[in-house]
Amino acid sequence: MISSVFTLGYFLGAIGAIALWIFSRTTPEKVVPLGSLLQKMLESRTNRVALIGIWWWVGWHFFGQPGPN
Amino acid sequence: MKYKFIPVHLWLAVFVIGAGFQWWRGSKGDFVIFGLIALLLILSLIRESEITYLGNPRFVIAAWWLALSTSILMISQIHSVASTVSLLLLLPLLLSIIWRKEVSKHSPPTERRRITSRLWISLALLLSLSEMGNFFGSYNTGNDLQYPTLTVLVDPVIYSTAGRIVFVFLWSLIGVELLKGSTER
Repeated sequence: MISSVFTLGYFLGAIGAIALWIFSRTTPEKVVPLGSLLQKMLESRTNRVALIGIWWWVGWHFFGQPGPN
Repeated sequence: MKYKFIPVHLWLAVFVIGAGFQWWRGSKGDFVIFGLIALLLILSLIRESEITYLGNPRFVIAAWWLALSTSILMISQIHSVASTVSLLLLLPLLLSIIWRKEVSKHSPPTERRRITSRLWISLALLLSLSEMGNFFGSYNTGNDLQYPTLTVLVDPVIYSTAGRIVFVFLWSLIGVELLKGSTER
């Protein structure tokens, strides 16, 4: 039961992200589109360090680091 | 004072706690990465305006660089030397983007931007809590099928050629958005 709650969280998160992305594209007067939001965030160096760092690490975690993961 | 969507100390907390967690779970490589990101955050905090930037990359150059790395990732085995090298080759580009010349366009947030940020942060928190729940569930029970982390769910997919190409493509799309927001057109 508990396990399915956590796994459900992944699916709700993914569906929520897709829904929010579509909503922001169709009604930009209510929700800022992701691209514009990112552009604003990336003006700050600390945000660039964090966001680019997380993105690169995701790639490293799933695709990089030779040998067994 | 410059407005920040997420204050640096919150980012710092995320990466310091993340580094501690990686150390605890025995992943020394990830510990080093999280630790280095935390150090870069401290550096950007204490000497934000004084560090000489490495350059101000143009989007087209950054996009080609990413495309090259992505192509290698698509045709290489997961966790191979080639895929690792292609990811390491991205680092000079990413560092030059992070330490590009600052453009002073900081402006106070609108209500719309604040709400949107909170919505995205809520989704990120939901995913993080789910991952944490499943990680500790599998750690305590030794059953990662009942408590699958994202790695357990995604790994079987990316070990197939088609799955790997799709995931690398999606990952690179996010990279393109990050490059768009960080480079000059």
